[in-house]
Amino acid sequence: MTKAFTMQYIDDLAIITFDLSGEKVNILKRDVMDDLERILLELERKADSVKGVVIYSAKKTNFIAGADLAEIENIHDETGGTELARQGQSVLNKLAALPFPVVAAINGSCLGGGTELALACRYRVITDEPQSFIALPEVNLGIIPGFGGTQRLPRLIGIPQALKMITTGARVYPKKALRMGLVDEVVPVEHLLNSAKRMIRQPQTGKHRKVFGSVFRNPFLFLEKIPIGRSMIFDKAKKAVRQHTGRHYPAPLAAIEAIEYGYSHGMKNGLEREALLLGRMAVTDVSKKLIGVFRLQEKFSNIDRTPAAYINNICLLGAGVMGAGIATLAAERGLSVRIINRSARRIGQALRSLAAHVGRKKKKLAVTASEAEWIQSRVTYDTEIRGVGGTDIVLEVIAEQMDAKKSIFAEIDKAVSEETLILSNTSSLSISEMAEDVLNPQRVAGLHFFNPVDKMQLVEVVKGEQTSDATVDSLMAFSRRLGKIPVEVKDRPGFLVNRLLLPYMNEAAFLLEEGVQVETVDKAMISFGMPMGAFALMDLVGIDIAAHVGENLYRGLGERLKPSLVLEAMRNIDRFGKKSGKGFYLYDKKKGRIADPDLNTILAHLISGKKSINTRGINERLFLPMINEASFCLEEGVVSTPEAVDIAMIFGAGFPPFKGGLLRYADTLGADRIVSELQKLAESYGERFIPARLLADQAASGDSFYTTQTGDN
Amino acid sequence: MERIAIVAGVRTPYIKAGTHFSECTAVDLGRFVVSELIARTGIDPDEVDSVIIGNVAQPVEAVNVARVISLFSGIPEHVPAFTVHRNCASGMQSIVSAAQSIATGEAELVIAGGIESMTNIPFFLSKKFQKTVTNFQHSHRLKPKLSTLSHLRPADVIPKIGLLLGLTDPTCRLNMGQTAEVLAREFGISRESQDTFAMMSHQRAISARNEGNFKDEIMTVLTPPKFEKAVDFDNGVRPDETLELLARLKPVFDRKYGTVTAGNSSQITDGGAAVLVAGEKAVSKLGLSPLGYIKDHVFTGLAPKRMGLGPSYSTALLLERAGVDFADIGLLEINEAFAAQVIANEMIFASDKYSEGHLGRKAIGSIDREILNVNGGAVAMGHPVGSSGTRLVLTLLLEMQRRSVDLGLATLCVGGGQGAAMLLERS
Repeated sequence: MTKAFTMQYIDDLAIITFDLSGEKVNILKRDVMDDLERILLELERKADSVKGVVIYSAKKTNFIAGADLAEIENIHDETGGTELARQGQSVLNKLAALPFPVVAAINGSCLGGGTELALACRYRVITDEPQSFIALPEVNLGIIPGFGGTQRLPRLIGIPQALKMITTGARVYPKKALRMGLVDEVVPVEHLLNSAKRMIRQPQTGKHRKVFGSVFRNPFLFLEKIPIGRSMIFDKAKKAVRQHTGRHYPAPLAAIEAIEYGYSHGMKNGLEREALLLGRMAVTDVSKKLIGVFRLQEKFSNIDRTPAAYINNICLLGAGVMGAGIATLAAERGLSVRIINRSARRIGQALRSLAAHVGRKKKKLAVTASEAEWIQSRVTYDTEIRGVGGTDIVLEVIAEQMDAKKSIFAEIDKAVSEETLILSNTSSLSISEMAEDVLNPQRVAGLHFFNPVDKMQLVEVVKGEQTSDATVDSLMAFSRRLGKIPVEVKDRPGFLVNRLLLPYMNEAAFLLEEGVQVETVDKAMISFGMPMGAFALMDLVGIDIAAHVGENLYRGLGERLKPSLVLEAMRNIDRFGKKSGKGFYLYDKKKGRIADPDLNTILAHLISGKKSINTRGINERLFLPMINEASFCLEEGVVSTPEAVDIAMIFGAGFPPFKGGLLRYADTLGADRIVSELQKLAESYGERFIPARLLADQAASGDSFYTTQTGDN
Repeated sequence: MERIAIVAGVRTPYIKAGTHFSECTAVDLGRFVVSELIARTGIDPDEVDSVIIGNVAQPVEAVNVARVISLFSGIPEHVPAFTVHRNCASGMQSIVSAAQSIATGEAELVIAGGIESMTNIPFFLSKKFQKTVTNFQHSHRLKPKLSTLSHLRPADVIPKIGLLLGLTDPTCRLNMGQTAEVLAREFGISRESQDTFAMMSHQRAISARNEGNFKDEIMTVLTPPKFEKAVDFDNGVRPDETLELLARLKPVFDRKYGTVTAGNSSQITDGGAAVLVAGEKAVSKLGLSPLGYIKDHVFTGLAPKRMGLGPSYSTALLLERAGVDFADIGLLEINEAFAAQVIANEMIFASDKYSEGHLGRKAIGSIDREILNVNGGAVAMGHPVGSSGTRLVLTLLLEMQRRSVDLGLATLCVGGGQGAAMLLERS
């Protein structure tokens, strides 16, 4: 039996230390829960002599990381999951029923089952360390809290707040937790035990949890006290969840159901419903896929390459949307940032967007006023290339023109030291060509961020022909420091993500040419699970930019990627998308994105007839070329594994995580079917659909992307 | 002794108080220049041994403003910082203190700066008001609380303007403008000659700008909180200034008989400047290429009511100490606190009679205006008091480079009756 807990009596208090041996974090595995039960039974016997209990973790930056992922992964029938939940609930019920106060003394991350354990305690105190936070991230893995979290949390902090925490899995940091009433005190780490002891010695009346003025801040507080009010709250939450997840994720709705049930049928029945629903969720394909993506994410985040250079500052050439986004990110992560742009007005816009970003975080209590000032103070700027001699990294984010990029590289080359890494954020131009006039081209590489920088987690680290391994290593480590998921890609046109997105956008445009409505295509994509439709995506990226990338890919990769004439036509009439107010859709300040009834008339010269096609047909037209292109990328070694394709498409292009990634999805279709469908499409629509050799081989041998995967990334 | 180099420097535009920098604190102005200096010199902030900032109206919310600036500029926590105050020579004092700490072996590389946010000099409430508030807080019952308040009179809550208090000498009870009037009277300096001098200051500043002389000196600042306005030049400089316009202004400090006007005085201004000071060892270790070296400096005292004569007193002493012939000085910066005050100094420099009377020596030598304040001065650009000393040294060194002048002098009058002078050499 695993010995995870040790108990120590100090005077009339029992101090329980959680320290799971051999692990970096504390996990509530099945046998760990057994160990906890053993301790609780011992405490029950000592009810006369013990006045209170403190539970704390011996791990430096973690209280409890939650349940064991492997155990959940291995649940293959509903009753298994339900049993697991029931067992956990029973242990935590024992904890909650102890006749004396129990305090969870939290330092570091408190996640999932850990949070549920803390909720079963009478009090929670938390340190003000930056790593301290509380969350119930179960829904991100396709499941719901199963150890009573759906029942105890709303009863502690109110239904609306609990719904928000549980259905989004968002982290709650100490100050906010105190304000919400989720914890009873926030203290410096040295006072954690003092605080816990104080909770026991001076029993709290509960008044301290009622945040002053909460009625004024939330005048609808009374709603959750009456059944009709509660049903309003639940309906609103369900609507919000459906809108947000497009019905693809069952877990948040299941969580709401468990909470609602607990209010209408009492806590005991609520717990039982929670256990049932956990069992149901744990066996879903969505959950299995999400856990797979989580593991993939962990794998790609775990960069063990040591950085060749320690990077302290970054200089951005250009101050557009990308420049501003990267500047904000870098400044937030503690780097000195220098922005260089010929137009001071542009720099001003970047500084303003940084200030606005920091202001929003301040409002959310995610940063203090002083931290906000620190972040802003890290940025310097100039209207000419000056003051870059001591810079560790220069990253250009100027317009996508090779000549301009080459000349700015040549210029910057003279101004920086020989060790400075010279990087481009280009989305499709050749890094190797850009490096031609640079003195030490081995320090030139691509570092391709995605828009919006603060939301998109992917970074493509582009290795040019002459880029050294040391440079790539530094950039992989640097990307991690910025909190991004780096994927190393070869310097081929469009790298990985844009190269795969292009055939997808292109096919959408071809469908438009064939007479399919813009909205029909986009609806199909939304119901597939894409965060937005293909046309909406082009509008967001900018049709001019999409067209430009398209031309680059066509030039570099040939006929297969010949762009639809629609993009060019739209660009020529200045319909650039969202930024110009008009693209495939119209953009209204008030109404947002709306369909343009005149679009087909405007493009009449390109549109032939009226075509009807079902959702499945649209999916095939858009995703099969994407899969096919991914196969070409693997053949060419743009990336070396299907995992890299999947992680990049999920975190760089918003490919639905519940499908596990593009090539996981391909594997569920089967190479056989993909190849035969592609061949059919090739017959009807041309050679661009001819399957890649890799796919054809798979179809012939019965392999799939993940079974043929050789070696490790 | 190790020679002390000024490696590089930068300043913000000098901006009239209450205009573009009105939302910038003294700390902001300081971090603008210090972080820009770090970027432009390319030094590793870790190599800096000390940060010294001159500042006159030290902000109450950031006492030891140098430390606050240092940290917000990205200089590591282990690097110490302190603030110096010698009124209008605070900026120069920071350079001298830097040089001294290098000379004693305490430091090798020092950032020295001068900053002033005259916009943010607070208003003060009366002593009586302060007492009332304290008593109010200390009494615990309602009745005594109310009775405390009842003693307050309307006049007690009228604020005193800190800026005016600061510009008034507490020993002779004259404000700085009045000390300029003293010199104008005693030296018989006419209104016209003061206005002509002021006109020259503006014209020189404008043509210096047009020739790009400030390109390396002044950084562009995007002004918070909206960052919509980019300022890259001193907004006190008036391109449309004429003698007629100057003549129309009323005297400020002696309304009946005075000659000192807002037009021929320096302006109330916000701004910051910083230079990198290094010992020779650091220069060769880090491969720096300095603008020039400090040859010698002097601070001296004189009658507070004639504080404007500080340049004469300090220069006389400095030349003697350094054994330098005035004729060898190729370029001069005398801070233009007031046109009258600069002219009075010119008269002492040129005349045996005045020199005898004030300095007890023969004339130093007459100043050729062709080498005096060639890029304009504080009358045009403004005088953020704690910053001007730094600017003078920086602007002098940059002009010495342009003109290939080997020896230059920067000197200031100092409120309270002091003079400051520094000799700089190019190699």
